[in-house]
Amino acid sequence: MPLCAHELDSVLTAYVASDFWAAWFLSPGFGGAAAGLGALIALIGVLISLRNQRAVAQADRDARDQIAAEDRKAAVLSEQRDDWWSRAQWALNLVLTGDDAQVQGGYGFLRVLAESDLADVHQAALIASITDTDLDKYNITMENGAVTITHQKPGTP
Amino acid sequence: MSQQERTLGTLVAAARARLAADAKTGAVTPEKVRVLAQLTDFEGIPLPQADSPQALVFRMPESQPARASKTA
Repeated sequence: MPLCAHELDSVLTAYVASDFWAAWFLSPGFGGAAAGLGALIALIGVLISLRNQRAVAQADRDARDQIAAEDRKAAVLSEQRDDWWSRAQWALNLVLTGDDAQVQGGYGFLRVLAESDLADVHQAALIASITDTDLDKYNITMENGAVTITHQKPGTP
Repeated sequence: MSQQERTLGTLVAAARARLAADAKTGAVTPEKVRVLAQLTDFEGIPLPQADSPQALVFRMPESQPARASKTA
């Protein structure tokens, strides 16, 4: 049953007024206990704060590690693409030499480079375009399972 | 750039490079290029030259790679 304000006041007055509690509240022991409790609360606060700081620091480290890993991956990919382009230039130069054996080798390398995952659509289109240099010179017709290759007459499309 | 005589091997290599490039771009490779890319046994066969009426003819067996032969 809840106490009314008047009854509560009476109980508290009796409680504080009792000799034991009055003496204890005024004793150095109470002061020490209160200080100890305060220190304990402060310690708990510090521990919680430390734990939070550690968690934040770990999250920062994880984020930095992830960014560094992505940067490394991007750098490796960029280097591989540069290598791809160097090889493509080399192969294209072979195709442009005009020497049949070198042209054939150049097309072979271009095929491998076109199949590479490093080749993008534009680079593949470039390779497709360079093959027209030779493919467009010839008429290729198919009839009844026979394929006939003749040289394109100059000036014909 | 010198214009040497081309061999069939070079044309086949060009066709195979074109096929690989078209696979990457999603473009439709012309049928004649796909046929050329399947050709085998083409070593040392010269292609017809610009001022020559010569034609290179080969047959495409249904289940075997094509073999080239030259006719005048």
